[in-house]
Amino acid sequence: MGLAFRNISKRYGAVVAIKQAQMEIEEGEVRAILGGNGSGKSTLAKVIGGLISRDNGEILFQGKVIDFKSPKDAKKHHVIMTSQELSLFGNLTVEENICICDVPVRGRFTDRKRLKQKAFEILKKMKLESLIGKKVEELAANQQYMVELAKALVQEPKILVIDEITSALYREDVEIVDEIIRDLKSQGCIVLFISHRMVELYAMCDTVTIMRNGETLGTYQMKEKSEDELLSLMVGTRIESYHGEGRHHQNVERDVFIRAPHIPIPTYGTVESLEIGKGEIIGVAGLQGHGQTDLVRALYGVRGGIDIEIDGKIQKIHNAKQAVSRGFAFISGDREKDGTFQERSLSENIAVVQELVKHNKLDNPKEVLDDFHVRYDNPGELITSLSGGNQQKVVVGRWLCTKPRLLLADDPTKGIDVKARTDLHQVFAGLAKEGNAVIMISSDDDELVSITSMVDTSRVIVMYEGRISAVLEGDAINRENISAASMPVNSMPQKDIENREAGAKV
Amino acid sequence: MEKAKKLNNPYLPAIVGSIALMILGQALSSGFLSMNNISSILMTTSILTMASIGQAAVIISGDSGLDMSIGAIMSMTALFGPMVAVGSGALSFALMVPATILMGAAVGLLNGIGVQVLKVVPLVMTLIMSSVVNGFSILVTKGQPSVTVSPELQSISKTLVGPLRILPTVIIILLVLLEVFFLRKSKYGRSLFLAGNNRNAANLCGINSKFIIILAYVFAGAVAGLAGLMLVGYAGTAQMNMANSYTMLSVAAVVIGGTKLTGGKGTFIGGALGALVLILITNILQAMNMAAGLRSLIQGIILVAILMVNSRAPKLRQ
Amino acid sequence: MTKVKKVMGWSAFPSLLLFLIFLGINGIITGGLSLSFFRSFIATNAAAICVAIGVTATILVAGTDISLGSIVSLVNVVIVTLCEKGFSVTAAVLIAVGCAILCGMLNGFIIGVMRVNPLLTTFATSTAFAGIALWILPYPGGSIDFSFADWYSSNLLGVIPMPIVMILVLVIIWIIVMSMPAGLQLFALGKDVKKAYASGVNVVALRFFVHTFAGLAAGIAGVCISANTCAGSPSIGATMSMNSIAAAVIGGVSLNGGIGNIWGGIFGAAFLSILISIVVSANLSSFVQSFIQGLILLIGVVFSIIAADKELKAKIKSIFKGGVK
Repeated sequence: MGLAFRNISKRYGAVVAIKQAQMEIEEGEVRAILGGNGSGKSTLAKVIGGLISRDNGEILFQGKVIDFKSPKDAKKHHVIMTSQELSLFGNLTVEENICICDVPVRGRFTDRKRLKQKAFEILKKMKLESLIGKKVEELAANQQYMVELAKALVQEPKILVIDEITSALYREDVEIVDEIIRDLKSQGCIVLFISHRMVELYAMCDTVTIMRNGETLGTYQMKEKSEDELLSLMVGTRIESYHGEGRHHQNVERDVFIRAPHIPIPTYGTVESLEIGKGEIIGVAGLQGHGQTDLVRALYGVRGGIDIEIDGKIQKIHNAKQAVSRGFAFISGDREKDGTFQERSLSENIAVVQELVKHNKLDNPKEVLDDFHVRYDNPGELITSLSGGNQQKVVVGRWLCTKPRLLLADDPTKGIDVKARTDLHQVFAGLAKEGNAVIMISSDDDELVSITSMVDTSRVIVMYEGRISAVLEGDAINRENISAASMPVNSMPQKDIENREAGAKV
Repeated sequence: MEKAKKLNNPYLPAIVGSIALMILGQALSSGFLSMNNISSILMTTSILTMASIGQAAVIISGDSGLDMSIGAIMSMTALFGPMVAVGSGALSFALMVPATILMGAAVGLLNGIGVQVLKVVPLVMTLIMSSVVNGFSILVTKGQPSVTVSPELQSISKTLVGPLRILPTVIIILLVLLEVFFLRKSKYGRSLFLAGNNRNAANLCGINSKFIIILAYVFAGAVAGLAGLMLVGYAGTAQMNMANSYTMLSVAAVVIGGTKLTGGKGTFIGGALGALVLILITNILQAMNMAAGLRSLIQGIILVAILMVNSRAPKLRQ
Repeated sequence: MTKVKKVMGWSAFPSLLLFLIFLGINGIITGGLSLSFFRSFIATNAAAICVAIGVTATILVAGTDISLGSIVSLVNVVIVTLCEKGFSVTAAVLIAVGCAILCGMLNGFIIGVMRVNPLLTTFATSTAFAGIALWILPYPGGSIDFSFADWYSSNLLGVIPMPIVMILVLVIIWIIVMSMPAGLQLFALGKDVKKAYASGVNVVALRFFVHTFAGLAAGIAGVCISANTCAGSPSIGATMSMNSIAAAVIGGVSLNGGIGNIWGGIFGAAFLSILISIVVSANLSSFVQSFIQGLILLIGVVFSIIAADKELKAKIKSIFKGGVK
């Protein structure tokens, strides 16, 4: 008798987030929930965790109906949900963060000693006891993730929901997480794993439930389904997940378009250089936080001024405005923070660069929206009424209607579904084919392999600790080479461990 | 669906509120809706409207923007504006307008620099600026303002245009012009919305948010400066800190008018309607001959009630 | 070494340092620091310090309270009026403090339970509270029995001056709360409401508590100021709200919530008070004084915000490091 969902539904106003979700999970089972954006998987997670109420349906745990009024209520029953957006407090220390949901007390007062000890024990399992006493805001992304997990574990979960791991974990971290989950399994804990990272899902999960448009489509043994099969189930229509390996053009002469001899990477204090050809797509790979974002933002002029040679002429770029006037465009994967204007309409979101910065008239915002296959009702509606993928298309449309010559993209397809992803790849390739250039970061190596195979001239550069550790071209562009260069063997493993403990500076 | 949209009109509470208040006022004292009283209500409303226009611009500019120095600026220009005396009365009146606008804009510029360059939280920066401005007024006038309001200045609130006095008429036209051509259509206004909504994204798009937001404070200061001149013209005399209550009244007017304090959204017209509601409340309480303290108590209670209906944050659990 | 660093990194440290420096300057100007100066200083400014403690508590949970000044006025008016009506001073004081707590609870109810923005709420309630004060006592006047003043200038157990006892009451309550789980949760709430809720923090109760505490702080401030003046005025606390927020900021309390502590509020207020007393003793005309006080507030706040700017600190540090290399 494990956990069962019966006909769970949830709507936000007019939007249906989940309809009639059904699922059964045995005790000691690790279940992956897989779905595109807006498929309702995060909503489902929040319903279990007591963060949001459900409209109908019931949840049964060990044969009993459970109905949590608040996260506090859920925690009392050892149902723990962790998600990156909702977990850690930067102003508190690691041990305070770990214990905040259930502060140890002596009488009515906080028992500081026991608090520290509790955190220490759990961190020791993760070999991260050195973090005790540090403030969470000082930690690197991977360390924060581990602390987040520690915070969940300390509450002795019977049901653990892990929503979206987006930060890259070091290899050792992955092993520890793996071990912890195995441990939980043996204690009969139910683990629900929500992630986009296939590799991790295959490594840790027993079974997988597919969600699409708020519905649960079916549950399969993880081993029985290939990656492609799962993806096509997720998207609905049968698609081929991108495999660009071996399809790259070889030894192409490139026509130098932009030369940037001096790109500062402030996070590491290093300097890099880059030559960009006409019609080229450059993929930027590497573990998260190794200077990729700095590289792209520096080229855009927002990491201090930079001298760039464009078509043989040296130009100074000090800020985004100057970059835009030189024909640069910048798309970030962090839509909410860097991309969309959530209180404003689609047409305002589309027109911002063309009309307000480049001072050209944008005749018909509708046309742009249609060109980029955005699904919308009317251009006056708020951008937040669209799904994540469509919002990102609006952001891309905003830039592409200005006919940029160099497109800088920082993980532009983060968290959007496969269909929207392939649409954007085509748009980027199309731009490059017109003789412009694209530099794109991705945390997904496959994506880079695939997009670089779509044009004649392309490269993948791999970054490690603020330096370009490899430049791959033609047939050399494949997953193995990228991951090898992301973690250079000669500097492993000792250095890797040191980094892990010290935390990569973010 | 369409109906629901109409019902969600952000102006609706303010419109319903003012109509209800007018009926209530008429019921309580029969002369309330007389032409004379209406015109005096419009007069005071238009002064508060000016203040709320500036406040709205700053609130729209985001980053928890608020201008708590509006009342102090108005008090200052109410004191200093009438001091401009060059040649004939008409000429000095013509000079008073740009002079007060400049004075207000200068304070606004300091606010903007404090908020955007020195990164002081707007609430604190403008609060402190208001005590600096008040101190400055006292310093210059030595605490003994002797202001003579010229007949030209007084005439702006006395002359009639048809049934209305000249000032409210001008303000209503100005309000609509500012709303449409400044806030909604102009490149500046549109950039203001975007910078206020998501500063980071606006910067990455190449909008100079810092500059845009500083300008919002300058604009607020300038409008408040002008409002101070209008106030002294209407009141006929000037006192120390005479307009200090306008600061929070302007915030309240903007909020009642349906503008959220989070920035990136809002209208000037809403602020004007909110101003009307507030002035009606004050007017009714005055008509009932209430003690000043009781009046202020009832105002406070009404404000709390409006806030509880109008601007509650969404529930944490949905 | 690490201890020194810890003290220097303490968010309230700059304000403490400023306070001590200007205390010294004041001593030089007035010719030496005497115990009697300190006593009169603390007697005059205990009210400001209490209000700063109250406002700091609300700012720590990312709120604010600008109604505290009005509550101070209300408490003053209630004490005076009740005394004139023949109540004993003790009864009058207790009733007045009760009113202040009720005012704070009202704020806490509207902000916590009804989820209205704290700035707007306390603006509205401050209008109401000031209105009540003005309604009860339309004009300054009335007097309180001088035994009240005597009590205020007496010492508890013969050593601790009464104004300090008043401040200590608040500090002790706060320290007790801080050493309970609620103390941790309070800082969590200040950092991020949504995260705090997801971590099982009782958001409503905490908000209700801090505003009630702020009400109590304003009540005690009202008692101090009444005992110090022994007279009534319906606008006696009018400027206190703004000054207390400035004091908290100078004391290193972040207006975004979650950073700082009440010591910051205390030292910030003490620093502002000593500055004002320097300005007063400098024998400037009163019009110049009010302008200078404004300027001091401005400079103090700008300075403390720049000092707390991490980016700027990092920049300065890197310059130093670069120099060593």
